[in-house]
Amino acid sequence: MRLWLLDADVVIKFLEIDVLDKLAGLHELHASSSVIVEVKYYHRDGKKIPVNFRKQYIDTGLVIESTASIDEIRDILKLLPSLKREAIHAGEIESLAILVREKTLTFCTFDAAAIRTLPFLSVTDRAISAERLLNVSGLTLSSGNKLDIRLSEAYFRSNVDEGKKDFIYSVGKK
Amino acid sequence: MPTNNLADRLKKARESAGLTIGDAASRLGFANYQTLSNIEKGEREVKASELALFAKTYFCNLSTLLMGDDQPLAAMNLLWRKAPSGERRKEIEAYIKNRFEQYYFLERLLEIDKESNARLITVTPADIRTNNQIDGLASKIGYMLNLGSRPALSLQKVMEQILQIKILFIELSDFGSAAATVHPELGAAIVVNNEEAPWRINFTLAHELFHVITWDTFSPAEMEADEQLFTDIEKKADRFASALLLPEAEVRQELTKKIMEQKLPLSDIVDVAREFGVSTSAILYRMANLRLIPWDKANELSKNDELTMIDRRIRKDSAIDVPVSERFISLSAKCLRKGLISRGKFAEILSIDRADIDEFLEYRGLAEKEDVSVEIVAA
Repeated sequence: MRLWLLDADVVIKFLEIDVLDKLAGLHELHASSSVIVEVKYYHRDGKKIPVNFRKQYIDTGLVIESTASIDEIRDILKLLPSLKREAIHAGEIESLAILVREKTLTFCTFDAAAIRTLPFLSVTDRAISAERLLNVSGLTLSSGNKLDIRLSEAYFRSNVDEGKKDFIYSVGKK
Repeated sequence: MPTNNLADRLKKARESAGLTIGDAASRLGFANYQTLSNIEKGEREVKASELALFAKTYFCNLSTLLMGDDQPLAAMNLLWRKAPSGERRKEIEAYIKNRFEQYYFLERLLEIDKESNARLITVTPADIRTNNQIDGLASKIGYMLNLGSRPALSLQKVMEQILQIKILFIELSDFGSAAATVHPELGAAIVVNNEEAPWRINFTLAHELFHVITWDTFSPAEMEADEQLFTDIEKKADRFASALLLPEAEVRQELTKKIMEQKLPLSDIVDVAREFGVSTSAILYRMANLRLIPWDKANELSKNDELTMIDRRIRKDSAIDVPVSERFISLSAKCLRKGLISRGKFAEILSIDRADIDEFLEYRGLAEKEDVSVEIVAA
């Protein structure tokens, strides 16, 4: 699977639950330049663990870096209602722009606001919840690690539904 | 002048933020100003990963940089107690405006951007000509807001939650003191230096509340141009703050026993100030206002070294945490919980690292997800 790590939270969470390296061995992982800059450390077992993401994952080829152009980002902003434009961080907007351009990427996110923008960009079908990603990859969490509800398929689906409603209601308002 | 391309907009945004090209280049992490100069001339493309940093450094948002401001807001007039000087003022005001807009943005997302209740009373210059009238206004406001016998304890919460005044705690260092503004779209805001002690913040809030209430009574532009008028209004604001935070009946009641004994130990003065959440100077001048001590004595005591030492000793543990607007944090968390802002945006608004979001929410007792709803039975 060509897997797109949509935002820094996905990367941080996968580092926290110790599955990022395993996923890198199973899939072709991609992340945007903005996301790479934002991952500085993560928490595990109550400790703060620093990470040089570029050095450890990009330079070693475990994750492939992609960049969006300014025009692509502007095009994404045009597709979103004004309040949603401001509600999403610049790094996530870059990620969404690359996702729209690269049609063969499957992507993972568990950010409610980001999931709710997907119907506006017609990319919902290529999204996957963290829970499903771990299942199809045959990965289980090590003992003591409970799957956060935000990573669940149910949470993902409920936010997709909210996004669809937002999209339908916004159509007449444009 | 409207600008049509990114290079022009970046230049305009930098100038609005009061930054020189050298300062901006250094904050953006460019090795020299030439890179930024080339970007502003359209000779070097901006990388997507640089956009967030541009927006943060220039105190604006991504869509304004990329698409321009389709509906620009009216200008913000800040009434400073002591304004920062020169370009520094421009930079601080640009930062304040950005925080003010973020606060309003959260209210809009939650659909609570109704007209602010801040100006709950109409005040004419004739209504506040004398000190007695100002005391009367303070007493009326204290009663209307139900501030009780120790107004400082609830003032911030009441101003934020009931009056919907946006309180912006900002590190001003020595560059300026407090400020107030009332904006036609964004509502009312008060800027407080977050380095001040809690008891000084209480007084500042009460002082600035006076300016918000009288925003239409005295023109801020006129006050800035007329030093005498400004000084006069500032004295009125101080009098209002003193009367609001130290209600006459409660102060007299607290001090009655001491008055009977015609003696007041210095440590008791500090205790009373602490009890009411004000500075020792504030209680001394209020006592002079109420003719409990002569003005000369209040002046002398406010400079008394022994009293200062006692004050420091008694209050040494009182100002540990940096003050924050609980309402701003609570609105941000509510927007995150309802999926109205992304986690990246949440981290940006609250200036925390993404990796610390869960810890931050847990520490403040805020959940990220909507939990079970309770059915309300209509009476």
